Amino acid sequence: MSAINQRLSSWGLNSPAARRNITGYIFISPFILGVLIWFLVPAATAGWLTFQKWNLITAPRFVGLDNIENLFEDELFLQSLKVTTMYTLVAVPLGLVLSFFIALLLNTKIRGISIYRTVYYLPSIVPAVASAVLWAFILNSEFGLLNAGLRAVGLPKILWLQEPEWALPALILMSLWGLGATMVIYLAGLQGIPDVYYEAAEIDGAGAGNKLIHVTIPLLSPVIFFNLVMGIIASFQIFTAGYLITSGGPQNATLFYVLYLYRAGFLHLKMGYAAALAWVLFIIIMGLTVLIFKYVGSMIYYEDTR
Amino acid sequence: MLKNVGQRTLIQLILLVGAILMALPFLWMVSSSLKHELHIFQFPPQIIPNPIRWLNYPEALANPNAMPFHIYVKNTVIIVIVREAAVLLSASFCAYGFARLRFVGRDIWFGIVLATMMVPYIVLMVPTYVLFARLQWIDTFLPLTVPWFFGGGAFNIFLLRQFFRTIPEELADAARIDGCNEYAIYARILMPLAKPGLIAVAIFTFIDGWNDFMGPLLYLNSPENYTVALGLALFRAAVGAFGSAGGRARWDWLMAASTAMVIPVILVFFALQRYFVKGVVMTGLKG
Amino acid sequence: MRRMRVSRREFLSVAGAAGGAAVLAACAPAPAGTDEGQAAAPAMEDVELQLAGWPGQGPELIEGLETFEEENPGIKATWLETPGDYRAKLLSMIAAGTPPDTAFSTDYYTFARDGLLIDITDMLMADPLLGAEDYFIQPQEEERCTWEGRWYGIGSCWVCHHIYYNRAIFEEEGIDPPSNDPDEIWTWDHFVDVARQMTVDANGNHPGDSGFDIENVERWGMNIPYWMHWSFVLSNGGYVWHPETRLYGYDQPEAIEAVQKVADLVLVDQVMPNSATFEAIGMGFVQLLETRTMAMVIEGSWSMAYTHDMQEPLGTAVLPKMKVPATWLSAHLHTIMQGTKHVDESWKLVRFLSSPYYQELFLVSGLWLPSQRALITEDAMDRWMSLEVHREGYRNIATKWVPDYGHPMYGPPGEGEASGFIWPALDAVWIGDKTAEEALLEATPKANEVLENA
Repeated sequence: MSAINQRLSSWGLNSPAARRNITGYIFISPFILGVLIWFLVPAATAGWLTFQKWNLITAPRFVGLDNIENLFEDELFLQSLKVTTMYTLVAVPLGLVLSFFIALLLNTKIRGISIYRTVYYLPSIVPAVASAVLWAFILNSEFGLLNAGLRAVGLPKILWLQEPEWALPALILMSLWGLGATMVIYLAGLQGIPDVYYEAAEIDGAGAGNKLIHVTIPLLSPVIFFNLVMGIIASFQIFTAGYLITSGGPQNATLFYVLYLYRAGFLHLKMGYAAALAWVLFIIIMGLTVLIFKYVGSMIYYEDTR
Repeated sequence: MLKNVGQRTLIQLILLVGAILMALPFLWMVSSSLKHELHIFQFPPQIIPNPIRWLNYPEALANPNAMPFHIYVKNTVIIVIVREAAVLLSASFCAYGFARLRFVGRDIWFGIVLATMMVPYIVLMVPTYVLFARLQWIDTFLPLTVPWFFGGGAFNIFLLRQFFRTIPEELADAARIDGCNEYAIYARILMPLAKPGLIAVAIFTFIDGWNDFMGPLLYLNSPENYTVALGLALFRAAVGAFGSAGGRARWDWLMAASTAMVIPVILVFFALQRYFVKGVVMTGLKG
Repeated sequence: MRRMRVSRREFLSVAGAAGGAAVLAACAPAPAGTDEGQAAAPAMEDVELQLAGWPGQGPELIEGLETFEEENPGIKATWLETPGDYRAKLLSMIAAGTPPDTAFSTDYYTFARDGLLIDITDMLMADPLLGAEDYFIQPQEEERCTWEGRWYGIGSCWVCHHIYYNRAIFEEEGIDPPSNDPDEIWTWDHFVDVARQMTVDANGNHPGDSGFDIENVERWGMNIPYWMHWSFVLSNGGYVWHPETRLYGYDQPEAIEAVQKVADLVLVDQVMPNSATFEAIGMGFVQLLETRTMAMVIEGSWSMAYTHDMQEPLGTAVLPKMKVPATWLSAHLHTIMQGTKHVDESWKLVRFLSSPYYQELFLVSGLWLPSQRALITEDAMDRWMSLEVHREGYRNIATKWVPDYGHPMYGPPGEGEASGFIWPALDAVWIGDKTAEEALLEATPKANEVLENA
């Protein structure tokens, strides 16, 4: 032990500060190693790939900026960007508002509330594969639950998965089934708001609407912000539903960005191009996150500024 | 808060309608899983199957078009157990460093933890695959377990860090005065106190592991190594409407297999419900 | 993408395109034919061969491999089955440098071009059995197997498209059913006319009658899975891929007309539901026929294997013709992967898989149709054909329909990516958003540009 200490002190590493640093890094070393092995190395490889033409099979060839230039002539790239943006613009706000609304209702003390909470939450933990199998059935135009419902009230059937204008709404509908994940985060946030705030507001004569606007929303704004950021990140990476249920169709109406990336890389074997697509996606997501932090982040009310 | 009876009734009503809508897909799944093959196609659909056909379950779960379901379950359980051990040890260890120690660069590294939660993982799929292939790990459980020993996932580190920070610092300070080093404090004080947080992480890890589709799809080749998610996808490819196993769409079997896959998740939820809430509260992002 | 799904599920039709696939893989190609393998394998140990393919092959495959092992002591053959993304898995194994020794083909021409498959031409020509001139049904076998004149695989069998119909409905309606004999082939117009008579709404009206209620059809005349329009492009004198240039022919008038006629079955003739994929209908074709939801269904020949438990009497028939009788042909090839350490043993296996014994195993169930002349003799058919499986008159399918009117169709390199333009265009045609001419004249040049650069 003393030998080690001697050596450490000879490196100037025996001061309390140095020891603290060493201990700290020992604790987080698994993560650092993980980032190196499972993240940085692959990410560097992906970066290198962006400038290569590579079909996995023959040797990679340097092509400079070709992959990036090709992006702007690729109408399917633009289509996938459009589909994903549309999905995000509708599904994320809709999910945020709806789950917020439900969380508000579930934060009341009415009979059977715990059953309601469970029922709203459970769909969000259903495995993606099981969910895809189930919704492919629900959305089936002839024997699906949804069209059975429409038919029961005398409406014509909708070709959910065959009509380009319906396919994306159908998948958005499906995504709303899983809103429990967001809802429960709101709920946790709501339960963290001390009653004194509401009581104070009531003394000031605030009604329910006023309390919502002046107490709940400001106090919950960090949670809303968190859900917004994570929602957008997840939404830009949506893949499973398009892959398992619609295969990107009909007429590329559900050709999500990641699905197109996946196809470019693993189906059409354009690894360099896929890497370029991946980096563009990364930049889009990062850019959006920064923008949101800058413009929405400033509106957040932080209770304790440590 | 709610003094008004009318208001209560309205909320009750909205929640009830919403709950029915949320529950309907489940009920539809279970109901369809108990129907006769051809009753699936009836209009109006039977809500309670008549007759109830329990046989769909044995037929679906031990079907010649796929491996017996229990093989998938066994594989998934092995993967999940190893992953649990990895995550609970590794993530808590790292989280302790982030939550309780001050050192140069900590906040930068924690920023990296948060950043890795935001990276589109698909960017890294190909190079990662090569890595595993070079290690000769393909068609083993190693790619699905070993990486979890390295930090246990950014989200879990984040979660446990939040939880550790709720545990009063005074306990650790007292131990320090008694001469405990940080490792002992982590192992003997923080870990026992963090049990609810660890259970929450364990639950999320279980659900992630049980539900994971992409990982097994990439790394497992032999059917005897398949997980439940992969097995269900295989089964769907075989007996779906355009299945390779013939001219019959066996929605009844598919719904039975899907139900069987969902049941363990729901059981875990009900058994450990209060820890779920704990876990969610931890993401509450304060501090 | 529609077809990707289709062909993935229809395990026999994989051919070129297909696969909603993933691959993941990477890194340089497996070193071509290193000889360390031969030396490395100790003589005493069994050679272990892998055969990779997709599920749904049934017990016959295992039975066949067991027979192979008995006949070839010292060689073990293991079946490696991949659900769903077979192509992905195969490519990932190649890229990882651990390809299986032998495999069902996917992207056959691309693989052959890129040197992923072992050239078996010399071994084949030197073989006393398989090398014989009249061993295969020709010229189709050579057409599908050769890339730039060399063989890189051998077809497992043939599969084609034909009609399946509910015999009882035809008897009740007093309408003559279509025939298995290409000499008695129906014209397209007659086919549509019969389908019209078979399509009935809840009030007993047919399409074209005043008051026909398309929302309440009790029985549809027919169904064509959309990707099977290929056979009708051929039948109309067109082509999907040009045999020499390997470019799409969807901008040719014959192809456009054929596509439009198929689309019009829904849009104009109203004899087919607008959700015309089985996936969308939610029923398999056996269920469609036995519940009398449809009178006729066009389907792949492999589906004969699934009709044994059909509750209503089944009939089969050749496709109607637009100009000439024609059907798409396909089926996977058995190939030896570059990088195997056991070329000789792998050839033994592929040769075995191309033997009459092995092919016959799969003929009995109705899954396959012969690609070997020896199996379409009357004697041979007495052995493998049975009325329980193949129904009345089915011999004509094996002896005339496939050999005389079958066109092998395997996608050229780049087809997977190029189809990303074709299928969405066709989707628009099927639901009537665009005419075939509008959609295909726009999409084909884009798709062909991809093919040219592939």
